[in-house]
Order: sequence, then structure tokens, then C-alpha cells
Amino acid sequence: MKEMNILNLRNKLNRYGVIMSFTGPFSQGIIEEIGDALRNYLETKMNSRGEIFKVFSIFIEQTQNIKNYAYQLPDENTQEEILLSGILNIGFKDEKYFVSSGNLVKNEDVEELKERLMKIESYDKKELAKVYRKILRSKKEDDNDGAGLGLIEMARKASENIVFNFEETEQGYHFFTLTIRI
Amino acid sequence: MEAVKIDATKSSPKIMFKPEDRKLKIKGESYPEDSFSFYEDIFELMEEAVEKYQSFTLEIEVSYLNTSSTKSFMTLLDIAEDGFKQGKEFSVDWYYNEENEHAYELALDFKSYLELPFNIIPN
Repeated sequence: MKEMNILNLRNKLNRYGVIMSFTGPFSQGIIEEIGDALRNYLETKMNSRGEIFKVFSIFIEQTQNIKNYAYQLPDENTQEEILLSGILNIGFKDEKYFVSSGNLVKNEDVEELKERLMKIESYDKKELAKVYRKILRSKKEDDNDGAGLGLIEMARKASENIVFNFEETEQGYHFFTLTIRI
Repeated sequence: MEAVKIDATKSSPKIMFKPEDRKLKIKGESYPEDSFSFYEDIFELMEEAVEKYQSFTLEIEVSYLNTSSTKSFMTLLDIAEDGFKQGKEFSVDWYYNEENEHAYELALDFKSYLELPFNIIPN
């Protein structure tokens, strides 16, 4: 087996501007710890608490989306596979912070998610606020534990269009990536 | 009604209710694993308060809410709004740190959906 070149990997992450990177199953505890580290780091770089919370909140929504998506699936093996596939990068490139995540999505869930994201992409900030309001005011309790609201919130806080991609990978799955620039 | 005291954790706020004060205080940050389960008992407490009390204050001081907690707060505020609509003195005092736009915008958002007295107070 070829030895993994960690330096190459590190250099590659550097080139993309990645400050923090995590791959593997996210637990609530890990999310909280990375979130703390992120906030401590941002406090040394940013003056406004509002701006720090913006980056932090996108980090929280992205990681909790992956976790919630996995846990709402009935099959435990599938849950585990999806959780294990999770990757999250936070970085700074071209004067902006970004949060970028990836995870496996079951083939049958791809179309709906893609459509949802394309719709969000097409909205301007005003329309996003309107849709956000509508979802928040709907009485439905679950709504995938607010996943719809999470995606819209991220788009509202983004300074550029959200960037997403689906790539067919292992049997039965696509790898979904989402990048939000703040 | 019985007093409630829930200590804060990293991802969930401190919650305090003393029947003699007619006041429910929520303070901290909220992004728990499952926000609906976390707030379920608080919804019930609020419903009971609407039934039993003529006046009540929700005192909120949160610096961060994730979207599912935002949804839970909306539910909680809607219950308080029911009390107000029954002609009772139900109100909200929302404290925020002036440097934290996130908390201020959240408050403005919530206030815009509701009719009950909603005071947004910098501290």
C-alpha cells in the first residue's frame, strides 16, 4: 500500500485556504468542540460578534444537517455510512470566509435536495426572507427538523450564491457538497 | 405551578421559572441535538401559564439560536401570544448585547410576527 503523504494533503488544504478540516462521524460533542475552536480562532481575526456568529451559524447548520439527514433514515448501516462520509472545511480565501461540507446522499434523495437548492439559488435576499418567514410560521413541527429552514438561513447569510454539487460515487449514493461563502 | 431550573450546557440555555415571579427566563445559546425534545417541557409549562396566570413575562437573553431552536422559540412565543390574545398581560423582554447583530435581528424578526408587548432591550 502506498503511504499517505500527509504533507501533500496539508499543502493542498493550505492552497484552498482551509483553516480547519474535519472528516468522520460528527457527534453533537464534536460539533460543539469544533465550534468552540472556530469561535476562539475567529475572535482573534474578527472584531464584530455578529460576523463571528454568522460563520459559526453556517458551520452549525451544515454539520447538523448532515447528522439530521443520517438519523432520519431508518437503516442503521446507511446511517453509519452517511455519518462516516461527512467532511467539513472552514477556510479563508479571496478575503472571505467559507464553510464547505460534503456527505453521501442516497440516490433517491438527490432530486428533491437538488430542486430545493436550485430554488434557493434562484431567490434574491428579499425572497429568501419571505420563504424563511413562511417556513418559520408554518405550524408543522418536524420539517426534517428544520432542514429546509437551515438551508435558507445559510443562503441568507451568504455573501455570494451557494455552490453545490452532486457526484455519483459508491453504489446507491451521490456525494453532495455545499459551499457557503460569508 | 412548580419551579423549574435547568442549567445551561454548551449548546443549550439556562432555563428558570419561579411561580412567584410569573416569569420564565431563558438565557444562553441554543443549538442542541434535538431542539424540539429539549423545549417540549417548556412548551407545556408555557401552556399551563396561559391557563393559570393573568400576567406573565418571558425574559429572553440568547446570543445564538440555530434554525431548529428558532423554530422552537417561535412555538414558545406563539403560546405566549395566545395568552395575550385572551386579554391577559403576557409580554416579552428580550435582552441582547449591542455588539451582537444576530441576537438583535432575531428579536426584530420575532417581534414582527407577534402582537404581544415585545421589548427589545440592550444590555
